[in-house]
Amino acid sequence: MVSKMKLARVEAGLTQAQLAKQVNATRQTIGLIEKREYNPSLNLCIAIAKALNKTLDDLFWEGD
Amino acid sequence: MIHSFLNVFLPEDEYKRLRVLYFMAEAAFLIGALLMLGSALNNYWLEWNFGATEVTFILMMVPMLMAGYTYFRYIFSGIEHTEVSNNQSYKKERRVAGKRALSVGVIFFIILLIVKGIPSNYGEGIDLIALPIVFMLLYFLFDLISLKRSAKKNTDLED
Repeated sequence: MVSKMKLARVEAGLTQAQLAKQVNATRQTIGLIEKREYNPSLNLCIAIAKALNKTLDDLFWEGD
Repeated sequence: MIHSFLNVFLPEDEYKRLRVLYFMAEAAFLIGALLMLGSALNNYWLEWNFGATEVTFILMMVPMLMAGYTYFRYIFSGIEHTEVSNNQSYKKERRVAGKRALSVGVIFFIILLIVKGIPSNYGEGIDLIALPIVFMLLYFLFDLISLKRSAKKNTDLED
């Protein structure tokens, strides 16, 4: 299943490397978050949400 | 960020920072277990009678083993080269690794020359040349392993 964060990133027209640069992380970290292999800190979640112009719910909430 | 003197040794990126912290904690745990085992063996069975030199050597081994364990876990985890994912960037990083290994070899040679002085016989001369070459090759080999592991991990995580 494609993660909401990846969809939002593609929608924003950003590559993993570009997003990583904006949020002061590495491309690998962004890839791991998108593959759900790493749970980021709240600070990083907020930075990603701001960079993609989304809310935390939009990107990370897994409810119905 | 949590304030700690360990921050000096930790990378900026939070995923890498967490992994390296785990490696350091694993190293500390394993060394603790090893020292306890050694202590128990010494007390109840082997009863070593070490001199000052041996004790100094064992004490020196503790930080070396901890640093070695952390380094090798870091190398094999594939988290060192986070941006390498295609053939072009891989080759570029490999060139950089080669140059870095060469610089490290030259520095090692200079340090060896300063510490041991100008060789007075054939054996010392060979030591002066061979040791930096072996060190340089090993350094390059580990850098290459790290690069390969990183490239594989990054390719798996690509867009």
